[in-house]
Amino acid sequence: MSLELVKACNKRLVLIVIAIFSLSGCAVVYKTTGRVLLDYTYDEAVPYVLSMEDTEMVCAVAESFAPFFFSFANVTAPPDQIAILFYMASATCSESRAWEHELRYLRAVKEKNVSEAQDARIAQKRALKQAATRQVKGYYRLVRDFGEPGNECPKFRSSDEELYYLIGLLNGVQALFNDIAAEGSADVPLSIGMKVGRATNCLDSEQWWGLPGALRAAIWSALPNSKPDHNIDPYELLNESIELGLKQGVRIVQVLEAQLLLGQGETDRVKEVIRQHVEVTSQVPSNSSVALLDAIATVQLQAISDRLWTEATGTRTPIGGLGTFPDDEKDEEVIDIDDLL
Amino acid sequence: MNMKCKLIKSYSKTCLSIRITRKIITLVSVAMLALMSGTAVAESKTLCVFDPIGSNGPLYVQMKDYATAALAWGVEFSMKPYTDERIASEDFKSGLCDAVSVTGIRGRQFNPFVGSIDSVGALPNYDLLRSTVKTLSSVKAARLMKAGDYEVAGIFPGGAVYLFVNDRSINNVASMSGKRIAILDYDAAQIEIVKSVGASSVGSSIANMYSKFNNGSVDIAYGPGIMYEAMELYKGMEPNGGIIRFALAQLTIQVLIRSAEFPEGYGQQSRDYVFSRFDHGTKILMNAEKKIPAKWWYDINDTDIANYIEMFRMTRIRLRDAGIYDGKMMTVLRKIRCRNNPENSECTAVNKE
Repeated sequence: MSLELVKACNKRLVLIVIAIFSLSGCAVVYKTTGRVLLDYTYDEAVPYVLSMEDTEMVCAVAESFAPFFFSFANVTAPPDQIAILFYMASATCSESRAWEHELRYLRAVKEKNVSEAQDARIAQKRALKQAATRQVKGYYRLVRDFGEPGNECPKFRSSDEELYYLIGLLNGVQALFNDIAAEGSADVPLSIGMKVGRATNCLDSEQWWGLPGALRAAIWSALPNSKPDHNIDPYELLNESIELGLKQGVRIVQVLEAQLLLGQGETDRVKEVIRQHVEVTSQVPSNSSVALLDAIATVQLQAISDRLWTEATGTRTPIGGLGTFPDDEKDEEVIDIDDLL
Repeated sequence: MNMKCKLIKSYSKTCLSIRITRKIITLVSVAMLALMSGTAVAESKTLCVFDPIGSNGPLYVQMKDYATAALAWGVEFSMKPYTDERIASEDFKSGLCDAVSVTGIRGRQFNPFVGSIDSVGALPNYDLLRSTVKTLSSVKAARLMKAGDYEVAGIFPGGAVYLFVNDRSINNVASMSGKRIAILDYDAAQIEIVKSVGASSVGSSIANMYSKFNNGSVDIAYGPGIMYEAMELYKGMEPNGGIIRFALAQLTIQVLIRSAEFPEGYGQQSRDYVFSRFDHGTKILMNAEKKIPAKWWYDINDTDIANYIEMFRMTRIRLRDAGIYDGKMMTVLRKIRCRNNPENSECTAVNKE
């Protein structure tokens, strides 16, 4: 082949390539970029985020970047597992806004300011509706990726998938309860509770810090009709699960315990859980690969503590005061001044 | 002079007048402070709330809004969740709770008149329930809201009760004979109703009633439409079951107070507020019913409907005569039904309620 012919062919090839790019827009580049970014997110970004302790940064990242990552669905396979995580993380932002409104409500009640209290309740329900909406979307991603929970267990290809599944189930339960608190305005299906309760059996509770067992116990307690046997005591399973979590330095099981007890009006036992949390976190370091879960546990228990403090005093837990409560009796000796004079 | 009054606890005229003046000054100051800050002065009371899910449940959420509104009527509630309705009622009776919210069935022991709203077959739809609650919440009906120390301070809708069956051939009174029905056995009315259709009752609690239906231990369960999704009742209905499109009763959630311990006029303000939430409550309940797939609902023919209506009417009369349902409420409910549909045969019956 002569040189001129080769040059002419190359020119034609370049023209063809340009034509293909022009016709298909940037789809090819986008597709490749999308795949690379998603792979990077799954392999590097998610483990990095899970090892962080700054829950507010994670919430901000999730709120800001979620639409960007979700848009990859237009050019590559839908990033359902990333979505499960991002929806959960972004819902924590909404939940923390709801906590602030709850505290505002409690202060208003304390001051007998009716309109302020009612306004705070409305604002709190709006924030909880947003949290429930995000969480149920996370749950639906789980349904799309793994199938409807509560029927057959999915075949997990890796332990990462099990973790996404677990987070997806948590999304479902939190969506359910946040929606109830928001008067059903997020339209979360009520059957999620029973389905998630059964689906926790697909995960090994010991491997996942007691969380599947604790979740099942919480559902059995809230929805006794979901128990396979009427005589089962959910608290037995809960206690076993808590032990597993505490041993492995992932204390998120304690949040479920505290929420369960709070739901039953057992305030003194809730205080014990918070005290125990403070004690164990100072003794057993958190599991560094999932430090975020432990940090979330502390933040959520702090929110419960803030509620108890605000009810009693009008202000939240003092700095360094997590694990203490306004009605704690200090066992201190009062020396009679006359004995010293 | 002040010091002297304090130390010797004198009851002299001067000391007494100083004390009275001080009290007046304190009261005026509190009232002025309240006015200046736009806040209300409130008495502290305990509100015990029954919710099967505890403080994470929908009934508790509803009552939290109620407690917030009550601040404006001079009461600050401290709320306590109860997952067991019996204990909530007992604690109210023993004085541990100043107010309680329970189902009308439990509330019947405190005010038999209002507690009989939930009677079987008495209110076939939400419109009739609305008329009833509106009438009972009016100022004119206030005296009927009180019974002894207790006062009904509001009636929330709890949902129309439907029959969930595992076989659609259960479509008339006769076909219920011999079937197993899960019932809440603390309610004498439910035992009587099951007996009257020749079915066998299986004593249950809210905690296991629906699991018994789903695992086939009973053929029939009942409850508001909201239970379909929450308890996955399609599991018990598959493949040939369904829901009979005929409301057996209207469940209500009633707020009860020990009236002497509340400010004057509290009960009426409370009833006005609770009624103002009626439409919101029924909207949530009706949405839950609408979400049930159409394939599960089935109708029964007009003759069978007429038979059911007559059977329930006779059951109500028996329960009234047995002292379980209140006769006066039975008459009120009959008049409300007949006002709505004067053609009903019961309106001209010799033995009308």
